Amino acid sequence: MGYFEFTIKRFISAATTLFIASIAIFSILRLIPGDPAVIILGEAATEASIQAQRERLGLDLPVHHQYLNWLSGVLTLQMGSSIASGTDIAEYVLARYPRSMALAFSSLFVALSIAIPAGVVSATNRNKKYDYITLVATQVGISFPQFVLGIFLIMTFSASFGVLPSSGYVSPFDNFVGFITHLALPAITLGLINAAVLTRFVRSEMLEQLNEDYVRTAYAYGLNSNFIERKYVLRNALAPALTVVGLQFAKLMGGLVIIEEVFSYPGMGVLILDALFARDYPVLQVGLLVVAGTFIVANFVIDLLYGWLNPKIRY
Amino acid sequence: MNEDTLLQVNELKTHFKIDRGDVKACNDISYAIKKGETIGFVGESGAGKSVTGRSILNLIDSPGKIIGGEIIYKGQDLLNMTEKEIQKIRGNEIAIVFQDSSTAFNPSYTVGEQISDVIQNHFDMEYEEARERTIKLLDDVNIPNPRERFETYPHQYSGGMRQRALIALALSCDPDLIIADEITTGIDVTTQAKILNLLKELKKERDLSMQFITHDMGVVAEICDRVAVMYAGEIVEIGPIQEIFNNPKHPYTMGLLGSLPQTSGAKEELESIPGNMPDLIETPSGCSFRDRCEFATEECAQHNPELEELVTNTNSTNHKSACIRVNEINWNNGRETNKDTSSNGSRRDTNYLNKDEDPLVDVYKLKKYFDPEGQSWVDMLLNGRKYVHAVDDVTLNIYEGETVSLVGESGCGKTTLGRTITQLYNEDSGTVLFAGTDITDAKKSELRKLRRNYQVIFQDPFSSLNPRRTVGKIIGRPMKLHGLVDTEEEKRDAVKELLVEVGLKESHIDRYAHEFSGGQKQRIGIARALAVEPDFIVCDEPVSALDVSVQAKVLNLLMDLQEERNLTYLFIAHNLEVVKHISDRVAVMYLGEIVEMGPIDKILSPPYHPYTEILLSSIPSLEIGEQELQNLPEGEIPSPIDPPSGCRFHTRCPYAMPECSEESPINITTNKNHRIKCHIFDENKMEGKPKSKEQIIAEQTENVDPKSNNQSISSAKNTNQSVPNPQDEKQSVGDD
Repeated sequence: MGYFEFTIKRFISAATTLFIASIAIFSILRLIPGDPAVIILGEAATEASIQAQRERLGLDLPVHHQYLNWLSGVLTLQMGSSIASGTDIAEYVLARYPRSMALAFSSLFVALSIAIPAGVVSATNRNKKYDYITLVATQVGISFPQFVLGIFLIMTFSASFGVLPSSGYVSPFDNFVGFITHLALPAITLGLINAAVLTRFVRSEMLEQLNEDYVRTAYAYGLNSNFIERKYVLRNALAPALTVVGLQFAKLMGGLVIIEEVFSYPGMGVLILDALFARDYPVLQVGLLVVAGTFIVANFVIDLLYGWLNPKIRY
Repeated sequence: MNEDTLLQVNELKTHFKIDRGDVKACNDISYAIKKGETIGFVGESGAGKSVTGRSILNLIDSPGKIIGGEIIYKGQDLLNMTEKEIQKIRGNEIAIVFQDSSTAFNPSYTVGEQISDVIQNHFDMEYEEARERTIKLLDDVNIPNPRERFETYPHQYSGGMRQRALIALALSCDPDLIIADEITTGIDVTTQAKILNLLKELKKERDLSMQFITHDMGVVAEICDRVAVMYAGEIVEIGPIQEIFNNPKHPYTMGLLGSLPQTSGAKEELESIPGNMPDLIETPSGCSFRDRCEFATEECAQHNPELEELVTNTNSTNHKSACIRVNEINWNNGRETNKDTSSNGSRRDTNYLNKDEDPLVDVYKLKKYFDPEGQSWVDMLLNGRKYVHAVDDVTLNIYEGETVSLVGESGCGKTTLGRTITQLYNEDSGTVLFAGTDITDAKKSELRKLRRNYQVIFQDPFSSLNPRRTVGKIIGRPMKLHGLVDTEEEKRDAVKELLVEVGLKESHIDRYAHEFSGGQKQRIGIARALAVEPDFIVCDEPVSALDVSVQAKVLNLLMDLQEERNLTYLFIAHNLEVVKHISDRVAVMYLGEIVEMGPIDKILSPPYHPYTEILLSSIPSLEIGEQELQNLPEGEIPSPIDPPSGCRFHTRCPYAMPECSEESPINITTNKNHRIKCHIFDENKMEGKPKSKEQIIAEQTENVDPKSNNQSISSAKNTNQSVPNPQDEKQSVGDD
């Protein structure tokens, strides 16, 4: 089959999923009870202004036209304006999306840098001291609410020690150090919680792999344990761990909303949250689409990585 | 210890510590391997053969531990070495090949890289050099296109090729000793034949010593020079192979050889060893075999016999036996491995086929296709929908009271056929008539009632019994469902009766499945099948997972039950010796089609379908001596997703003609209801061909294994009689 064909298949799958997701998101506004125009303008609006609003929203067009208009608009970055602030939605997205992605990736980085080594060492020292410490720590981590951890870190590092800022964002182009310090606490908060889950998973995958026959073959042919663990076992353990990362990504995106709120970090998360409270549906739709799209693309990339790690999938 | 000895094992003790106590897997094992010698280790499961092999390289994981003995290799005691020192021996001087080739390799790296890693680990070589060496090794083990195969992954290899790649891995550092741990178990007979041929070649070329662990006596006869028979963690007999096979001097060895189907006449009761292998934790005092030994006396319980050398008048035979009564027992009452098993006296006369009776089971053009694994909608979009042609247009009849065997190699569709006939799968097209009723067309409620008449015995006794139910419930429930019993009392009584009938005890009724041994579980499976008093039973490889002595008992039981209850069997198997023993008629399957079908003596004698010929000649015989296993099929079995055009066997057939790839052959029926699906037997096709049909049949006669067909050689002049007379009616439809 080959890697190329595999990629094409995955791409078709991802594109179809995204398409279906976009239809679902588009339908949200249409499925909300009541006339969208009335919802936006309020009960007291005049008949004429409602009618005008309906036209402006394109509600008098057939549904599939509306959908196509909307979709083509999103793709060409003509997303309309926010009802609440009147700002061009595209402006919001272009500014905030990179910020959220920076946060997401840095927290993923934190999570993996902790989880992979911790999981491996735990698995290879099973039932010894180190393993028990890890198991307890991860148990705590999994049960700890994200926002509590966030507030706790703020209290420690910002309030008490004053080393890291508690909120806000600085562009990397303005001040790179500032960018990092503002990113640090939110990323660590999200990262630690995810690390707890991932460590456990890496550990259990490693343990399972260590029981496999090919490990026995490797030992039988004189290879030593370091080599076996690092080269042979890890690769097999990482592949399933990767799929968990993909699923965790969804949790990560959800976590973004909370963490951005706690740290007043101006990203997509707070945009969506505010839009939800303000009934700012155009913004909400675009926001959800962006999030869904990110999730689908992330899983697509992970699928490709998985295919690279696990030859059985692509041949 | 003399110069010739490569490995000397003295009083090896390997124990496993579990809750109940210490499992003495190796209990004072001593033996020696000479340079260039192949020693076979036989015995049934649980005897300790694999543990012995792995102990040599100290590959015993906790809870196991080698607690005593010494293993002297080239002057050093391997058990005294540090981990680092023994790592240098592993793979480099002594290599072990494991059984399951599908899991022995790391799935994430190419085969070539894994072999190169080992080479680079032991030798100071650059990657390029190691790579070239690996490619040469792959070539040496007859893997085609070794350069390309270097870059492919284990799952892309076929089973036989993977096993050969494992052998290449074993040879990679030029070891002196190879330990082969059940490497031919679980693979097809033709693949096994190829691997044995390969090993014999390599043995000679490289002057290798081998420790060949197996439970298959036929394989031992093919390849070993000496044999050690293991029982309950000890070696009970050891000696040159001729001695062990023709002159066994231990009751267990005799029993083992006697349980083999090929040592009994067809349909005769097989000899079996009563009882089971003892618990290795609380081994009985004295001789561990005495509870099952027909020659046991009081003395046998006194002390555990040592391996004593048997001395004859002439000289030392190097044949040792651990039996204190070795000189007292009259061994000539024992086995004759060359017994004439061709006598058809006890075989069913298949005249019943010529009567106008309707068959009990009538299968017509049955088709069952599956979706291949991993086919996503995207695949179907891009490549069109593909199917696994598991069962393709199969027609066959089974008459009341007979045993029809279905043979073929793994993947040929026999299990699928058995399941589709009993409607465990819904067929895609075709009909199955049971006693005149079309069960493929029956409504669900009708089908339920009809199921009472035909039952299935499954292959794996471990997974086919519900672990959460007692034996009584497993067997009793079908009785209740079909209304054979009314009250709980009645049911329990009926179940108890049945338990005794299959050789279990009444007290077993309230036990759970996991408390029984493999053979006993299979008996429970048989009882369950019999519970509803069916007429027809599909036996899906019922003895494949069992040890040889247990197999003998279960086969005896099945044969007895058939006589008592006038049962009809469809017996699915891949072990041809078992098939030869119990069948009346045989159907040979290949890639979803039946290529030959007929009474067993017709199948075992020419004319053969080319595939049948190959199958029969691949069976290792118990005759000692260098026998080249000939006529092996070329290449690998094609995928059932894309079967070859025309005759499906043509890609591997030694007699293939051009039309074989164009047209699918029609079934040619000889008299006596023997049909072959092959162009060779079609008069029209053979006209004017370089090899006439007579020539081909004569060739088949010559190449045949003398053991499997004693008639053929003496009746070579009678060949013409078994060839269909051109004047005979030639039916072109496959109905029997």
